[in-house]
Amino acid sequence: MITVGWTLLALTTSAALPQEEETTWVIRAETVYTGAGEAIEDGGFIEVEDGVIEGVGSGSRGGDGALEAFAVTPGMIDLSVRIATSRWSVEESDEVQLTARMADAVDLYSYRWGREARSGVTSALVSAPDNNVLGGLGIALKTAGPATLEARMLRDDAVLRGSFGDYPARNSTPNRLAVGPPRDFRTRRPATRMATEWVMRDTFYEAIAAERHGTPFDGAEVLRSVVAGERPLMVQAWATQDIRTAIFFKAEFSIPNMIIDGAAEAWREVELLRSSGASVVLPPMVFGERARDNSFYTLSCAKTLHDAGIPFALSGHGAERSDERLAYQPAHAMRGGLPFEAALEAVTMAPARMIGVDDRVGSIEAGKDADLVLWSGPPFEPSSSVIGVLVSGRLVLDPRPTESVEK
Amino acid sequence: MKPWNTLALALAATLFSGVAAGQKTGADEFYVRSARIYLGDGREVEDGVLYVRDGVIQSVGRGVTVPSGMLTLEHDGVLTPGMISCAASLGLAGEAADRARADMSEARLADAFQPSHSHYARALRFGVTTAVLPPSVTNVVGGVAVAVKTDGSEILDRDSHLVLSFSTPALYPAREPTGYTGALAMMEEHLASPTGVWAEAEAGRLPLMMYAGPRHEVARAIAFATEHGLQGSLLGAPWASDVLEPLQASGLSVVVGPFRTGTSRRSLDSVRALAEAGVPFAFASEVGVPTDPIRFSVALCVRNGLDEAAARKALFGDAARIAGVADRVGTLERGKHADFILWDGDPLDLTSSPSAIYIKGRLATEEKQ
Repeated sequence: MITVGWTLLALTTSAALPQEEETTWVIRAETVYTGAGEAIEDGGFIEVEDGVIEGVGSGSRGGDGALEAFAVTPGMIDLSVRIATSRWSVEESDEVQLTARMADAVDLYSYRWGREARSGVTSALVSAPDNNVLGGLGIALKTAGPATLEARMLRDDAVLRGSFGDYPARNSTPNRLAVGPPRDFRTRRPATRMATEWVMRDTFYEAIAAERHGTPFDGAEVLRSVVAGERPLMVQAWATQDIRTAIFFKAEFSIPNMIIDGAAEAWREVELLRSSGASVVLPPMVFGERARDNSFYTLSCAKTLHDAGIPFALSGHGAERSDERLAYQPAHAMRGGLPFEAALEAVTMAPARMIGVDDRVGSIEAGKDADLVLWSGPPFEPSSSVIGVLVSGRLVLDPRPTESVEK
Repeated sequence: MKPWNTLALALAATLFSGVAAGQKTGADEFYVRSARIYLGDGREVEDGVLYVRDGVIQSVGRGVTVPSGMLTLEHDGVLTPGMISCAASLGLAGEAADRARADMSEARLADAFQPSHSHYARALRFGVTTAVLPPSVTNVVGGVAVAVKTDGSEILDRDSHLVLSFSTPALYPAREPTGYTGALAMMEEHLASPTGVWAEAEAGRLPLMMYAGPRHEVARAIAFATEHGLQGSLLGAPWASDVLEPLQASGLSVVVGPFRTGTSRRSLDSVRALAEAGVPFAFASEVGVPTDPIRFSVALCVRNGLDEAAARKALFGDAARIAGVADRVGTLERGKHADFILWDGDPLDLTSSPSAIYIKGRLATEEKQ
């Protein structure tokens, strides 16, 4: 009797579990923009098996079961997704948090993952909110899949995140009344741009001094990896003076690999940027208003960087508004003069290279993750929409028309 | 009857034989015959007998024969073990939280146990005979919980749980840490070279009680326990069933509730899913108020489809295991404390109430008027 009860319970439990998700597909499209060499035109296909791209070619495959679209592009990669950036996702007791890992603070259950995935963003770099001068280690994750770090991991501790400019100083004010002790950590943190920059330099100098004297320094490993070029230093800098500060900082400490995030006014410092070797992540386009930190952002900014040969990526910078998400940014950049191929690269291979994940994602090639965006028309055109998305072969947006009842 | 029973007791038994439920027996040895007995492990017995001697259960079940002339209480309702609240805040007011520092590793709530407070009498009247009192979750490391009898007679476990908070009440900008990473770093640092209560926890002698709210906090708490091989329970975790696989693999239990009329269906569904998946769970009491809502919480869950046997286990046997006192209370078994309640109906039915409550074989409450 007891045995029967357990069997029944086991059956009910297994029935309640979600079915194993389908990760094997054939996708057919008029044009396949592989992101690696020439696009396949006049009909192409992609074979996906167990979440990995098996084959890409021209012609038709897959019969009735294939997923169909006008065009397919690689899944988009956003290096500035600000998911789970509640005030508790950042440790503010010290403005330097070299060893804080976003892996320990990310919210994989946030509704915003689904929004990003369905809008065509299949990989995302998530860093702590920029309340600190050095905010710790960002994490690169797939935007869909089981809610575990292991299942979603693209690159752990991918960048050291920092911030110049107004952000770490925002809300940080000295005790103006000068009565009593500071109320909280915000009353003693850097309150100006120059203090923010000073804290960043001070940290590097302290680490250098500690190494020279053989004294322990918390987070020395992280700084060492940054100076050795093994891990990018990704700093937020929107306005011209902050971009300049970042570039000077890169030169001062010989940091081989720097990503400047925000960088709305990058178009003002093209020569300096080009000679510095830094790469750039551009923010979403805004109209009729200044971008953050009171910066000017132009439609032609991406084209200007492209023409100068500066590596850059586009981003949604955690936009909550749907029209500021990454999928809309290539259209703005193209309107500013950026060629289609460069726009595609700026949302796929360019960001993949910046954080060293281009062996897994960024283009449609055999052996890479099946991260694909299916479009109703020419990609990025305002009249086209994202009708299907696969993340590691998982169909997070289904392009097939809803089945009719009769069938 | 055992040969060493004295003539005097036999005489007394004859005098008191067949007394109404709830009457003070004053006897060290007696029997209770009840129309229904819930053993506390999910099983029930129709028309059974409980035999108590010296405050300890000697035997229970249908097959227990009552020797003629022995003192016997006749009860035509339900007999259950005393209920156990796995997280109660009895008479503590502001004493459970010392917000001056986030790390209160060696603080012990036993030092704030104040059984003369009116909360205890109320909790007891509602049928809660044992309660775990955790320190407040407004500190990252709250300190050590205590397990007590609500009649104030006994501290069952002075070091019952190490209470940790993975949630936002412990994080605010006036004090370190202010964020998840800092909180985790604080706990990890203890485990890097554990001493005191942390060494006890690591050795498996002191279970954790980890407060977590949203699912990502729950996942983080489970990962923390799993990584360090620590055992214990989650506290709160309203949607814990969404993190089922790692939860099952971790071996952790869940202390759920309290639930109110406004509690979302989803939280109640989570409890049902935990039961169906075989994850042990028990109930917390309302924080800061007396303990009656424990039955209200259970009733809401049962109304939402929670299996009744699972609900009974959660009130008694499983609660005792989670509280770490299952060797003494929680089920009606030979050798355990004679903590039991005579109900005028089913305890899962909110219209029922206790007619009499016994702790270690002594009537702990006055008869219901």
